[in-house]
Amino acid sequence: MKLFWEAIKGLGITARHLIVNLWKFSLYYVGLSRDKGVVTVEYPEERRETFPRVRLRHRLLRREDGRLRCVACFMCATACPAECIYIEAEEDPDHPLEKRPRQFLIDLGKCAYCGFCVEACPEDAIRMDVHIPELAEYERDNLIYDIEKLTKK
Amino acid sequence: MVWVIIKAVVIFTWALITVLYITLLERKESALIQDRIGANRAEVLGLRLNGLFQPFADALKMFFKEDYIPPFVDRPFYLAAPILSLVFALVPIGAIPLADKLSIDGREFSISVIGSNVGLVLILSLLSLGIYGVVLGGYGSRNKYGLVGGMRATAQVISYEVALGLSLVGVLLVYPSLNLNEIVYMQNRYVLGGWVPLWGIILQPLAAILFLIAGMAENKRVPFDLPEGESEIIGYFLEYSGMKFGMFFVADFVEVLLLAALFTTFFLGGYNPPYLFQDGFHFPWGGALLLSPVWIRVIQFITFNIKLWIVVWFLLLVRWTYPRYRFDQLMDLGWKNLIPLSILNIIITAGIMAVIK
Amino acid sequence: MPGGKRIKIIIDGREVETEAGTLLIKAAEDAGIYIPRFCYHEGLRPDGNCRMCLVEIEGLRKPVPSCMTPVKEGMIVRTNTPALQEHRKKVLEFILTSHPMDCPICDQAGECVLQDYYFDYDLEDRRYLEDRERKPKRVYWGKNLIYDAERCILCRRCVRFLDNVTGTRELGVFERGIHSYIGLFDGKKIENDYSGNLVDICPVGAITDLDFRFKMRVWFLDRTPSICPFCARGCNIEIHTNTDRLRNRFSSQRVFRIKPRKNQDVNGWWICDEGRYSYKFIDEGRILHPMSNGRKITWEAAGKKLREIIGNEIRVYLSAWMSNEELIYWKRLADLLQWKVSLVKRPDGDEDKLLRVKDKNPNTTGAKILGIKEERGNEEVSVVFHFPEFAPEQRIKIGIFTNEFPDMEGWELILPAAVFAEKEGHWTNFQGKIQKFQKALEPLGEAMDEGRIGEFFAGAFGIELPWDRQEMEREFLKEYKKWSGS
Ligand code: SF4
Ligand code: SF4
Ligand code: SF4
Ligand code: SF4
Ligand code: FES
Repeated sequence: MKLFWEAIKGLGITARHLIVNLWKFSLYYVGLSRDKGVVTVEYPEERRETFPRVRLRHRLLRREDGRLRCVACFMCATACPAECIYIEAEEDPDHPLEKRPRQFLIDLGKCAYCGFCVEACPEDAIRMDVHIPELAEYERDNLIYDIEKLTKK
Repeated sequence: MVWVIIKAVVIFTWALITVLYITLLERKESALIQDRIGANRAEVLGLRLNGLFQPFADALKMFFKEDYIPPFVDRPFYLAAPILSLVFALVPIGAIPLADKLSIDGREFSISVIGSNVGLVLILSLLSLGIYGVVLGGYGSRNKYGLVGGMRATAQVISYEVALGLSLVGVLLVYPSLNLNEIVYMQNRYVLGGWVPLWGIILQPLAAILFLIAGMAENKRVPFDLPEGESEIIGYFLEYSGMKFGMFFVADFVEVLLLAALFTTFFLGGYNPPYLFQDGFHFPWGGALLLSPVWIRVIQFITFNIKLWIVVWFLLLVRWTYPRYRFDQLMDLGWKNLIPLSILNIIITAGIMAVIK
Repeated sequence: MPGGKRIKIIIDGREVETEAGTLLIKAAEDAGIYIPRFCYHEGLRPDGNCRMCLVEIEGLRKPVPSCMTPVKEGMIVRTNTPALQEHRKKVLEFILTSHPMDCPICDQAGECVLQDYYFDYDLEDRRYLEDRERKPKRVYWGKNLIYDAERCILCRRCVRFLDNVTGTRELGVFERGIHSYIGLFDGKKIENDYSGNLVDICPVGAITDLDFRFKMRVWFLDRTPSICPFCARGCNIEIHTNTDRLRNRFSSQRVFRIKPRKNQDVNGWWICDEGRYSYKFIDEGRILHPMSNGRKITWEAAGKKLREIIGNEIRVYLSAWMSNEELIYWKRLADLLQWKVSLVKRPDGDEDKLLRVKDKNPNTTGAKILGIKEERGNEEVSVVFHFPEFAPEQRIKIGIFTNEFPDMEGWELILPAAVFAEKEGHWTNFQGKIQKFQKALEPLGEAMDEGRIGEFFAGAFGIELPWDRQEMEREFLKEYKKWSGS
């Protein structure tokens, strides 16, 4: 009997959620209230605020003179647990910093978003501060970002 | 004959549209229970209406999904199963009166596809046939999980069939007829100064509860969804895809509709709203509102729908409240609780009836 | 100073036996106690200018540089007291006052002793807040070398190398005090045949290798001990490879550099520039498939072609680049099939007093031991190893080559062979030393080592002669004993 009573109570809880949410959401839907009641974030139109320290896509920074901050030291590639950073270094003939990356690829399809690369970088050349979570592609290869894509904010 | 076909088309269309919207209700209700919004993206001509067109989108999707038939299946059974499932769930709906009989030019029309005098027996027998779809689906899939699902479904449905039937015996004792229309008429009587209708739920509260529980078990939906166990067990429709899976899926909801319709008919006074008689409303406080027969039928149909949706709402509430039974618990509930209780109900009802007589 | 008498000293409480006159730093190293050093190098005369190697000797008031102190009977030495550690910290701090924070762009990072010692002893932030001394960077010292004066710690190893070892003396120290730097004397470039060794001996990244510059970080390299094939001395080398597709995504380069391996009896600490920079043939221009008249064919088709020549007179020209094992195996095979055998090899070249010898092949001696002579014949068919230019004209020519060459169309059959870095074996150098080289890489394409190609020949000619390298090694040692005993 106790069980039966508990079962009824359970029904009560779900019914309460249902009715309260229905009421709040209906008011919201017709524009009478700003409280949605439900927790759903309707993603493409609504977005949750990203936190300042969230780690999303990488960005390569530039120096004041326009040169990439990166000196192709491979620290990030060394630290990367997913081994998804590919760098090819070259001589930078005109700059006092002798070395620069000719190619800098990050395979975001493999990246674990751990942020070790950011921690490892001695030049503050790489950050994960592009607050854009969308990374869907139809081809895996499109997820391999090169310098051009990585420097875009 | 022509009329039967017309009626069949109209009524089954109504039934299927209702079913589609039951699926929407299910999605929306579960969403709200869980503090979500639920599907609201389906859009027709830029109108979203918070998901009002979602069922059609779902149906369309079902149609266009790849219908893959695994090479190892037992084809005849495999192909027949979903159709049987759907047919045996849908046909009984045809026997349920959606409004009172209508006489036009001296001819009587029943507002149901099959205006049978033994509607109740017909429904019960068709209901128990529905299990064939499930069993054949499980068996024809040639898949162990499918078969286990099918067998479980059989055990469960057969057990609860008994409780279901027995709970209705009490109703039959109170309303001694097998004709559903008659049963509805007999519920349209009032006591306590004409205020309280003599609905099944008032005369037979225990039977009502038993019927509801047994009916849900027949439905094979949470908390009695052991044959399918969508989230982890996977049942008899394991090997089905595309529209074949869709048929099982729709059959499920048709059964919900059927259960709600039966419950309405047996326990909630059927299509009659309170105080509506052959010639219109006669309120217990003395007023009356006389209406033409056609208007009365319309009101009755609307009433039936309203009651139906309330029951459906309740069924879905139950579905989204409880977790699943374990199989032995399920059997215990059926054989050790529901059946003794319904027998008890029969004895008590019979006793009382005898005393009154 | 060999041949001296044995004496006993005590280092860090351990009794160490060594020869009289040995430098303390070397005695300790031989006993397994490493004393940090910048300027001392075993192969150079000690200079004692960096003061990193200071040790305490009982009875002396002040610490002394162990690289300048010969051992004396009964010396009691401590190498790692707190005072010494403090001292090394100060040495490092002084060096680092004017050292650029170049590690990210410095090729030495990862094998830089300055980095290592910093982690061992210093680990403190810089206290010197003045501007760092600016000095020339990116100075090209020759076709292989680039110098960075800011990174230089003025240990003078490079100056001493060019003085003590090559005797060419291109470098000197210019300016004074904090402004000093190493510079070329007027009109000179470092273009001697051993210039690459400067990169190895420079303890920091002041001298780096233009060939290796920025190609790969050193910690991604796998190191395999091997033997240099470019002359009969057989200098001991290390092959530094990276075959990791991820880190080496942009090129098919597998070998990144060659470094010397110390072997007092053969090459000391050095190798010549030819040995150091001629590794490109391992990755470039390789023959990847069997070829017939310039067209690519399969190994099966190659086998069929081989069967066609059965019955002809055959002479096989083994090469002085094959290992001992391969030579003896092929000789057996030739004997079984009654082929004639002779030797082909690279022509002689320059020699000098340091390492390079005239014979530019790694295994002429091995061939000599087996009695394979350099002779030409005019048989119907010639099977030529490694050196297409030795093939007799106008005959059926079958070649076993590693790298592509101009007229490959004229060859009936060319089989791709593995280069030395892709197989294991031994060579006998001109001193008669048998030295082992190890497999650093997998053969490129469908190439096989010459032993397996021999097995393939045996199969095609229908005889049973399995290629078992270790068995052949034992066989060769028997021959070697006969030869060296006689
Ligand atoms: S976030 Fe982590 S996994 Fe991704 S590139 Fe950086 S280090 Fe690699
Ligand atoms: S760690 Fe920084 S500077 Fe070094 S390669 Fe990566 S991004 Fe460039
Ligand atoms: S020489 Fe050593 S400490 Fe100096 S920049 Fe190069 S790696 Fe760093
Ligand atoms: S260049 Fe290297 S070897 Fe020469 S003095 Fe400077 S640090 Fe020493
Ligand atoms: S190593 Fe002894 S002073 Fe430099």
